[in-house]
Amino acid sequence: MNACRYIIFRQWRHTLRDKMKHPSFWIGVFVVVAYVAFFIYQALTHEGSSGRFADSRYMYEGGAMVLFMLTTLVGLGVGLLRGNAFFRQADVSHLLVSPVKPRNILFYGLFRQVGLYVFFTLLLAVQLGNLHFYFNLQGWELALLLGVWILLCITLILLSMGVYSLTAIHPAFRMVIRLSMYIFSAIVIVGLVITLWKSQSPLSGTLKYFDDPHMHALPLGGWAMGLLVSVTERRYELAAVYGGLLVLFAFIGFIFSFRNHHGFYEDILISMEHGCGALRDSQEEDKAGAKAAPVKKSHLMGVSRGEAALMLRQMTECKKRPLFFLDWGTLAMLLLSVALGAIMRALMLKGMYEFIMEIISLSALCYAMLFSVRIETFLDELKKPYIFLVPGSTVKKLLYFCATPYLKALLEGALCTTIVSVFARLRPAFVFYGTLFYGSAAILFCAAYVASVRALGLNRSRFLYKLLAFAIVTAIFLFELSFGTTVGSTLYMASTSIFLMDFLILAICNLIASLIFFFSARTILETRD
Amino acid sequence: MLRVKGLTKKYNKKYAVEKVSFNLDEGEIGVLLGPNGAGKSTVIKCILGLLQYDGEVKVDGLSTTSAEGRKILGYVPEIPALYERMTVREHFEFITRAYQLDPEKTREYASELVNRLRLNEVVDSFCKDLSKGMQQKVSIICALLPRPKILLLDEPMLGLDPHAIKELRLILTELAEDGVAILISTHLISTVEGMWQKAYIMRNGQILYTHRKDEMVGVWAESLERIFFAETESYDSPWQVSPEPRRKGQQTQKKNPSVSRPNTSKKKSTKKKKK
Repeated sequence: MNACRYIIFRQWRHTLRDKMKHPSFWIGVFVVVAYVAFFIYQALTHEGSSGRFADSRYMYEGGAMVLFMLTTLVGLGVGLLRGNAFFRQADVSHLLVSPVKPRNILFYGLFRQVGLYVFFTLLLAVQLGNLHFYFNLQGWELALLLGVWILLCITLILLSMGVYSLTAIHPAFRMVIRLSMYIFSAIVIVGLVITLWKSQSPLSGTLKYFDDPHMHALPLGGWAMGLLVSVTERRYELAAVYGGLLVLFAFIGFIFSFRNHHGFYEDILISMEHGCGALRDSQEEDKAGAKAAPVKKSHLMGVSRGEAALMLRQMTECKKRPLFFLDWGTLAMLLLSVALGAIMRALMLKGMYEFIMEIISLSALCYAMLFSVRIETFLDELKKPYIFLVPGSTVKKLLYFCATPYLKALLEGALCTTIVSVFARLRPAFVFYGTLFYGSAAILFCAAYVASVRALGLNRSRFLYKLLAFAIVTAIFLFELSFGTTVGSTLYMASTSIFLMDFLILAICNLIASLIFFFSARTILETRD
Repeated sequence: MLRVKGLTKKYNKKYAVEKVSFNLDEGEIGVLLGPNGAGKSTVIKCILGLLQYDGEVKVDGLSTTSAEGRKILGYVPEIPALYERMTVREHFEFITRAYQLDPEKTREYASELVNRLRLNEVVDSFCKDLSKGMQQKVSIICALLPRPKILLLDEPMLGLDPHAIKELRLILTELAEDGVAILISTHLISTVEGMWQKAYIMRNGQILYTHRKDEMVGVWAESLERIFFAETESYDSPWQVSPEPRRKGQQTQKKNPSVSRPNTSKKKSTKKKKK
């Protein structure tokens, strides 16, 4: 382990030294630390007025259950990743060929994923003060929560090690475990949708749903919650069962990872280098199925020449994916749409105006979409020289170059607005105008991102680019809010049926702003510095 | 020293390497030659235990997946891959720890190799700041530091400057004299001319021809390139043939070795395919 530890700590040291030169990082750290400290201070100094929700334990337990379930999904998901998610080419060249024990190497690889748990722990730590303040939780209860949390994290780390070493040797298990995760998630989501459909209050309905004792039957996250609740209610026999299950699974994970004999090396190597030609061919054969399927020609009607070839290349890559443009972000957006539709329906039953619900739904969808747009690939593409060499207008090149994220957004927008519209029983025209606005917002975000890259230079962190783009888009949205309210109210006065034209006008505003951003950032493609 | 017997690597239904067998004794330099996709790198990765395989691979009688086996193996990958956020010196320190080497002796040896490969000025630089050639040199030093008994090099000369190629050839020759068995996989045949003892010519995952330098006579003993083209081009296009390499004791049929013999080679190629 000594050698692995050396690599980790040396790299951390150099990374920290590097970060010292970037004050923005330390400002971020300071803000987070100050935020946590503030909540702890608040909890300690407002003892007298605490316990506002002391009678609503379901809120605390439901929230904890959501956190546990999310962590479980992420933890198991880590174990299902391919080797290139844990290791790098340098590890293959130096570590995997060295006499270091495979178990230590596996632990080293997974240790780099600990950041995920640190993130979730931070989420929990931030809320400890609140939990004490609002729910009147005693010190031992907070300690119990942390203890259960740590037990869950340890179980997940060991289990993800075991899952990885098992699935690397027997790839068929990868699909089995993934399928089980999908089934459990689908059951929970279907239950949630039904609850929301029936509930008058979406938030408390959701929390009560997750606080249901039946949820404790769900593996790992559910068991952890079961342990927490059982100890709180002093049902120690039940607590022992849940605790025992967690420990058992941690042990199983450890045994699997302990017993592997270099089996996962091949998975790492192949996922890293895509293997040799023979493997690549055989994998392609597998994908194509037993019968060799004819290769589809990638022609895009009339737009495959000049600058449009840039888009064609990206489209060709997208075509090879199982769901074309769509990805995990789309799935999250679809789930959000379902939840949003259910909430809107609940609000409708309370007598809310239709146009207000349309505005709320579209705003929420567009806001969430900003997190799921994958414009970061733009930076990877900028490293390739061909984009600079393709002759043509730089603005056009930028427009085509960023085309896939907003084409994806258009498709995604159509799906999301349809779902919301069906659930909340909104006007069908909402789908059309909503999709246009959604797509234009995606274009605006892409343009703002490109402009951020242009403004900050190429050597900044991706987070900083996204933050700036986010700030730009938020500023424009705020302007559009006031502008849209004026235009919208005028249209609404004229006729309620033409109110949706407001979205069209705002979409045009977005497109104009996007063009301005693309134009201002055009020089990014002139030199490759 | 290195015993490979019936090494087979299969990806689903396709053979990447099929029944490859060869031996490399102490102080021998073996060269794996063959066109792209012949399976040279796969053989090396199987020997290293990075890929699972059928057959038997032993290094000094040990399994390559055992810690003891790995201690006597050195590997230079085709593409130099280093930890970007670590300095060159830190790479050496890492190797010292991973192989549990004597720090003082390793430092001295590293310093000697750094001098020979002219890396003095960059030992405290981050590897991400090095050129590809320099990274390759660091990679080579990392492989040599544990003083392996068997050294596996996958395209070691790629990206090296002429001085480094010359120096590396010298280092490899010295190591072979010290009893290290060396297996080199390369396309740059000229870079291994004059230093090889065994040549294995691969195609479609199989070793088609094995040549020992001490068995070759005349021009064949001098030029590995000639042997390679004689064997591979006759196989590729039967009507455009070079003569078969001559071994000691074999009767020379024609005086001029560049005379074409389309009929015989065609038969030969059919035989090989049947095989």
